[in-house]
Amino acid sequence: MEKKPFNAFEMAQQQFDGVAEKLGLDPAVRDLLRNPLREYHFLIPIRMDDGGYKVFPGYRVQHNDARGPCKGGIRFHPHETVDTVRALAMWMTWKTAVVDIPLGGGKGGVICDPHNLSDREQEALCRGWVRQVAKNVGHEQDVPAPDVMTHGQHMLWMLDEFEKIHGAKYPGFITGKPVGMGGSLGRTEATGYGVMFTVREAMKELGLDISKTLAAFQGFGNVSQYAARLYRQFGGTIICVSCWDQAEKTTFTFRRTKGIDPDELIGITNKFGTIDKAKAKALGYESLPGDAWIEQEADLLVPAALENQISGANVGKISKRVKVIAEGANGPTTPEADKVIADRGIFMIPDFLCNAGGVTCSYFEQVQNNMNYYWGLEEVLSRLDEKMTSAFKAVSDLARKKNAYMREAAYMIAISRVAEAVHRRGWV
Amino acid sequence: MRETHSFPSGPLRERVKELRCLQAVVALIETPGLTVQEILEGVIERIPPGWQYPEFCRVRIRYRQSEFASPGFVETPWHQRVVLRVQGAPVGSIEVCYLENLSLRRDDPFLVEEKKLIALIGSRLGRLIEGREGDIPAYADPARDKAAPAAKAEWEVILGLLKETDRILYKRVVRRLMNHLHWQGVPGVQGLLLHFEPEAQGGRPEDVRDDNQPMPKRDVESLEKVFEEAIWIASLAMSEEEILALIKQWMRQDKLGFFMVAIEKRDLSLLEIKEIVDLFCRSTLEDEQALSRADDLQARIALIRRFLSDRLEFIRIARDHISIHDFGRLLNRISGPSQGSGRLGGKSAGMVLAEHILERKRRENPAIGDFRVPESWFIASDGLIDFIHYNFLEDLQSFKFSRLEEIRHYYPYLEQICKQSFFPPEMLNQFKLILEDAGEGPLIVRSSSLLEDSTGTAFSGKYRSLFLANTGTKEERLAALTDAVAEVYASIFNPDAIQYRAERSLLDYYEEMAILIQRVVGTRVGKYFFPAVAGVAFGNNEFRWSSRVRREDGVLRLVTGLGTRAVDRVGNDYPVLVSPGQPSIRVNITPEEILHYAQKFIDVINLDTRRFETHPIDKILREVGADFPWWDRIFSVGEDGSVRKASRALDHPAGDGLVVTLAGLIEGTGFVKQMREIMRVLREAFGMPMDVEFAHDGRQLHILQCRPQSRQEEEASVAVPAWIPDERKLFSASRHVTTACVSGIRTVVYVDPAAYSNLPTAAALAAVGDTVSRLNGLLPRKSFILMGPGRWGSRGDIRLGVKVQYADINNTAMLVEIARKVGRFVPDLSFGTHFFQDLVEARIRYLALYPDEPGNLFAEAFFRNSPNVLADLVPEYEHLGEVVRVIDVPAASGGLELCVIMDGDGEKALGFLAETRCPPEPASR
Repeated sequence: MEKKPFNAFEMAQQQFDGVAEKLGLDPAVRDLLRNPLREYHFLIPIRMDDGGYKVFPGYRVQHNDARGPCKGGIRFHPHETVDTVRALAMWMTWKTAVVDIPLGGGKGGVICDPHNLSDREQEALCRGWVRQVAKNVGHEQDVPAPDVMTHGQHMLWMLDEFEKIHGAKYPGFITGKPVGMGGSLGRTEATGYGVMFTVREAMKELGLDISKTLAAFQGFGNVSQYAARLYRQFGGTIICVSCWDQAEKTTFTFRRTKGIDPDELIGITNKFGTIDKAKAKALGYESLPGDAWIEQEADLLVPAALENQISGANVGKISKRVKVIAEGANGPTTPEADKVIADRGIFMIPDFLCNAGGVTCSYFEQVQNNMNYYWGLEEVLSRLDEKMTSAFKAVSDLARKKNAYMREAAYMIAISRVAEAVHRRGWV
Repeated sequence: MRETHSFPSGPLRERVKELRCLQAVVALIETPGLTVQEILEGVIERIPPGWQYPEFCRVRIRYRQSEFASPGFVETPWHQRVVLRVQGAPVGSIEVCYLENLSLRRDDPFLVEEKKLIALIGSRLGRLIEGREGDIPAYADPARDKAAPAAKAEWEVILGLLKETDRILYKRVVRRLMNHLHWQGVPGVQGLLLHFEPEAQGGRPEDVRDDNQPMPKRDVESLEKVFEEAIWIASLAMSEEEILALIKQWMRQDKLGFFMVAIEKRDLSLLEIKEIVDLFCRSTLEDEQALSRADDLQARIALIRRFLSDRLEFIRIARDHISIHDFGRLLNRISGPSQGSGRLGGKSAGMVLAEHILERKRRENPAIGDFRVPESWFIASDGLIDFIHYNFLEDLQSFKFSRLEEIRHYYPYLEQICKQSFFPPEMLNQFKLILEDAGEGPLIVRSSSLLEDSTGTAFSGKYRSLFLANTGTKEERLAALTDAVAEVYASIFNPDAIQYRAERSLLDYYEEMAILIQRVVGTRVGKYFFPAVAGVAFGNNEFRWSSRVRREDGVLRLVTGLGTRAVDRVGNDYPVLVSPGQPSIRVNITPEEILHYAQKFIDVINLDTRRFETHPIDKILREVGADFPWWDRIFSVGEDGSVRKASRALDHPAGDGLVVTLAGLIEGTGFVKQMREIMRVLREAFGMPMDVEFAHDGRQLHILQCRPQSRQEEEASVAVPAWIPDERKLFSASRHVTTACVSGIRTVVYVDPAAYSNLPTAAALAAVGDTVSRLNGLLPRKSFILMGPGRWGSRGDIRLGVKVQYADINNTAMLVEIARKVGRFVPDLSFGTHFFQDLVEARIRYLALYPDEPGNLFAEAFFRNSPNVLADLVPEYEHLGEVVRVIDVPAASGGLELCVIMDGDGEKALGFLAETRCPPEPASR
């Protein structure tokens, strides 16, 4: 029996090929877009705390910068493969294109396990990474950001090294910095609010009065909490949220059919995302099994927890009432379930559009850095609304025009924007 | 050499020659009427016979401008020289030369004793000259010479008096003087001691060889003579002040003889011993050598055996660190039946010893730093027996032999019986005294079992430890204390403890339990009382989170508040883990991990309700705010995707983002270094890794408890058995092995590495995780192990390892990660980092396998070819049968079970098929 091992990059290329075929792209454009434009592979020698030396492989993949500087995270992962990074860089190109921000796609990282490194060694790694690619990155070329096992502190070390090398201040070189150190307000809210801006537009389009709709949320982390708050502000009624219970090592769905107040629930949620069951009961919530959220009589489902949550096994449980699914998480729907949802005519807001609020806010961070003037929270959020709304409209217009499934339309619009850019620049 | 015929041969003969030489020289010096010149000339003649080769021995004495020499003196390479001094200034010298070297030693033919002898003669001559200086070249004044010996030194007067009044003491003192001279290597004394040899009395050598023949008895006169000669030699070899000081010391030590006699008695009651030790301590000074070294040691050992432990290894360590005066202080804090003979139990003994070891070592090792042991009071182990007798509860003693279900059933009732019983009036009075001594403020009542000490078995968590707020009226405080002691006593019948004893064949032991009452370390904040930081330190790290962390780097489990949360493993909360040897290699790296694995609840004593309580930290922070002890050392702020140390100036004291990281403590103070040094010193002293409980109130570190780790952590080290036949071996490992024994495994869930990596889609890979999760829910807890490729629970690329969360694997006994070669390299394993702390808290063992490394064994055929029962258990995942293989071990092996023995000491692990639960009862080390 011949089986090919799973390869993320090949999957991404197949997906691209499908859309490219539909768009009828030229072979040369396809060749250009199905591979990264540039890749940097290099070594970073580090002096370890014990006095010895160790060499770590590092890399940066710049998939495409036809629409603007590349944008994408830096991952510290012990067993990264270049194909995974290529796939993720390509995905960033489509994501920035679908929300129509003037950026391209990139990704990078270091093969290491931060669990085996002290803070000082990690700092040395960050600075070493920057030294190797300082000429090839920057706010006008390629803008890194935090990703798997990297965070604000790593970004500040990298920024500092970059500025030392170039002898000037370039806060826009990197995003994901803490507020007060060049970070933008609204970063925490951005993804959740972005999800709900697209939902609002979807409802408008479907002719639904959002204030008369019911919604079920999966997950009660950052994305879900802000999305739920905004949904309630819009007048919608949340009937349940599911959440992880650390003590019982399982998930529960908390339901209150007359409506959930997210702030009330946040008040009884510890900072690790676990809702206090006893208090919830006292407030009139019933607790159901973790996967009960999917079978609720609601107009809107928001899977905002993990990957592969709507699968062939449970897609059948989705109620007839459901009209919109907003993918707050990355890849919550398996391809098998996706097909069922498309066939049932449920309106799908695909992940890379739905949760693009985060990358849009990163873009805003960079914009504010470059003008060295920082917006208030309101301004960030209203600009986010504007961006997400217009991005959504463009995708849904296309979907309507071509009678395509939303996910397909989103890819089409993203890829055609990039194809257009490479073409008009005269590359192919 | 003719005269040597009457001498014993060899070294003994030499000693006698030396003594005679000394006697001759001194006799000459003391001959009245001789001038210095005459004396010096005489000495030249008298020296050679005392040396090993008199025929070849020549002497020269220089004194001021004069020089005297034996005939034929020439300077040769083999010569000795001693300077003659008057009031420290050199005035001449004595030189002894051999004309030929007859010795086997080429450069230095002189004996050590000869070197001492010439030095002694030199110093005696010096003193003579000092007295006579001025006589030369004038003639000696015989009158003055005679007057000198008439004035007796003070010590001679004392000895003389002693001889008249207390002959026993006189003999003891002179005997010690002889010993002293002998140990100082003073020549002549060895010769003197020869008087006691039978040969020296004219006995035939063959007499002595007969061991069964009684030795002839010496007559009194000859003993007397020996004593006098010894005194005479002492007067030559030592200054008057020296002799006087020694004689005084010995007489004083002798006066303390009562102590030695008493302390050796076995049946001495607590009261008597207290009185004797108290008397000793009052009549001696702490730093004085009040007893001879040997007696002192003997007394310390007797006290250690009586109160702390009779295990030889314990005594061996303790005797060097605990003085009689230390016991004097300790005894003031020991209560119990005054006629009783109980001990303090394992927990107290360990603590007392650790305290004194650290105190002593700190004097020369400042790195140990400041620390204290909280004020403690002890109730000796026989208090329990008195309590039982007083309440006619003797029938309870046989309770332990009942059936376990019965014990479980009756235990709550029994606990109530104990709590409603009365204490004997004597104990009650002692409790009152303890409370008076302690004043108000929280106390902890701990059990300190004799069994724990005598067998080296861990009873952690089996017997009770109770916190008391200790506030209110005297009566209320006393009632609370007696209630707590009764409850601790009752815990001896705790079914868990009895089961534990039964499993280790310890039921027959007559268990006694001592009580340790300790002041709780902490600060009062509002109505709460708790330490800023508390926890437990292990000398060996049995659960390492990185290949860079070594076993002997140890581990600290730290919490804020009472240490109960660090000592006991509480299901849904986490202590901060630090490796004192590698503090910079942390368990949790990303902000999400740090937030997730942070302590959320705190244990405190509520002084209002007088109860031990657990509260969410947020709640306490809202109530006490910045008064929280060590606020800025304990908390960090998690915001905006990063975690930074909290700042008193910038952050709200009860802000939302506050999270316990102890970053300020770990990075900003010398605490970790201090703990590392303490653990190192204790490991060195005890010769094994230790388990130390501690608390810090923000001002000072307190050591609360200390015991050997191997006994406490239950994972007695088991060597990988050598007798396993090859066909029963399933896998072996030789890297990153911790100490554990996982036995009785009936199911193996094996995710085939090759099949897994060949799965074509992400969804298919994810389904493997789902399958594991389902199996985890279906199979009996801890009856199965999970084995599979790469990094389980990895959040990155799903191909790197089975995608699971902790809840998906929480019932497994063990997680085995298999690193197969992929192309040219072997992937890194996760060491369970993604849920490392969950594994630690649930005691799920972790093993890394490297099947492609030489020397490692991996019976792939067993895992691949054994019947797969996946479809029977979860039919809906039957299609993954190629990847997930569920092996019913007894069915696949003809009734055997899987056992994995991991020997962290030897860095070896072996998984094999075994008949019964293994290993056969781990022997205590």
